[in-house]
Amino acid sequence: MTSNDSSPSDDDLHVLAAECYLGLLDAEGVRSVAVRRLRDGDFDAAVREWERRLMPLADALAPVAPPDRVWYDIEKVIVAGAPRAPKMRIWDNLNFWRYFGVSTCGVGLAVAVLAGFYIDRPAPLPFAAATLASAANGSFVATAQHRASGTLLILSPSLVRLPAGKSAELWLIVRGRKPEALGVLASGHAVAIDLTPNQLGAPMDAVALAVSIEPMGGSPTGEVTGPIIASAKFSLR
Amino acid sequence: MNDLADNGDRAHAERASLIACLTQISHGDKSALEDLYRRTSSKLFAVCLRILSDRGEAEDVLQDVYMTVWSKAARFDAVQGLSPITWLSVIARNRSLDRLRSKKRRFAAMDEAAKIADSAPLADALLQASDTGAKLFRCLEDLEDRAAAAIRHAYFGGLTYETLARQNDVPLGTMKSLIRRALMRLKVCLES
Repeated sequence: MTSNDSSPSDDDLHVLAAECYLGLLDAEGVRSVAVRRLRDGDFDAAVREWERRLMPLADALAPVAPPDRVWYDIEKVIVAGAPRAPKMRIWDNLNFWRYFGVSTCGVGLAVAVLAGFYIDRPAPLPFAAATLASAANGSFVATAQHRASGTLLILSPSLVRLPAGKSAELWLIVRGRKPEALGVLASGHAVAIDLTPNQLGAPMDAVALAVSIEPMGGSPTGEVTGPIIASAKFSLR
Repeated sequence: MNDLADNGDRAHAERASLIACLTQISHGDKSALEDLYRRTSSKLFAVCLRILSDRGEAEDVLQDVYMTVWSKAARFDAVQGLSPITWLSVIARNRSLDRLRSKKRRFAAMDEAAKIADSAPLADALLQASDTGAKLFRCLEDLEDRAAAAIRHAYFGGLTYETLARQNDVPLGTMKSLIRRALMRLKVCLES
């Protein structure tokens, strides 16, 4: 039985949606579907449809009771009123959680490519900026804006030239803390990162960004492993 | 039939109470989060464990999932037709896959997980799954074995075409067309 009632392009859309949801695509494919999901409602709906179709795979797993300590740890954090556990990664808080499925289509793509999504909307003026430039590898500008939830960093579309098989990874540098990975930069894509005050943990003019060259897909250890090609502190405007 | 109707009612009631929990959580009600945790954590822990095959990491991610729910419950949108447990499972799966990828240990983990998965009796799955679930398992059974296995592995392992091709020792193009064909058949079967 073939799908006579649907056009080839329709079939393509549903297959691509499944590939997106399952995470079958390579890095380039992932980037393009993540963007398409945000712009193409039909495609986004098709991905959600696969989410529903395949969910029985997870539902069929026999339940496993977690140890009590998991709840105690959650309770501790909530009762203490601490906004988030510090070990959480910063892009967990990207403000596009409504599109939480993007992370499936973009697992491994640490920073979403949401240029259009953020930049098409009227935004408050930036209060701080940092320019990162590297003669050999490219440059970009980062700006910080106040948001109700904290601080929104926007990185202008960057031109990142890299050796084959390498990725450029962005790091948040705050004095007294280990550099925190913010994600992998893709050439030509703007990036938006939402930080709660707790995640930032310092005034903006005490915060810097750095870019290092890492193995494809980002640092395997969660720490900087390659050369830092650019870094800059934010200065207030 | 009565059983089925009862099951349906129960599922409906469970769904309604989970939605109520999420609503209360979005207003900052801590006891609602505890209630949600009691009702759903075993299910979500199973998802994390299945993907990560490491208890410590699964516990970390599970905690992460509920912290996310605590701060993002307001984003749950029942209107979109996702059931709350599906929403939660999607978060658990995404977070676990993120962790798996970030750890770069997915090949070892997947080999283990694949063994566990392949030895899991399908009958159990059929018994536990809902009606729609049973249909998915029937449709998967109709697919070529290799394609069905690849779809399961991708679902729980976030494996790319490239990895699947390597693991199955077939050219990339062959793996792609095998899975694409299977996905179309699966869709048609599920909609029939």
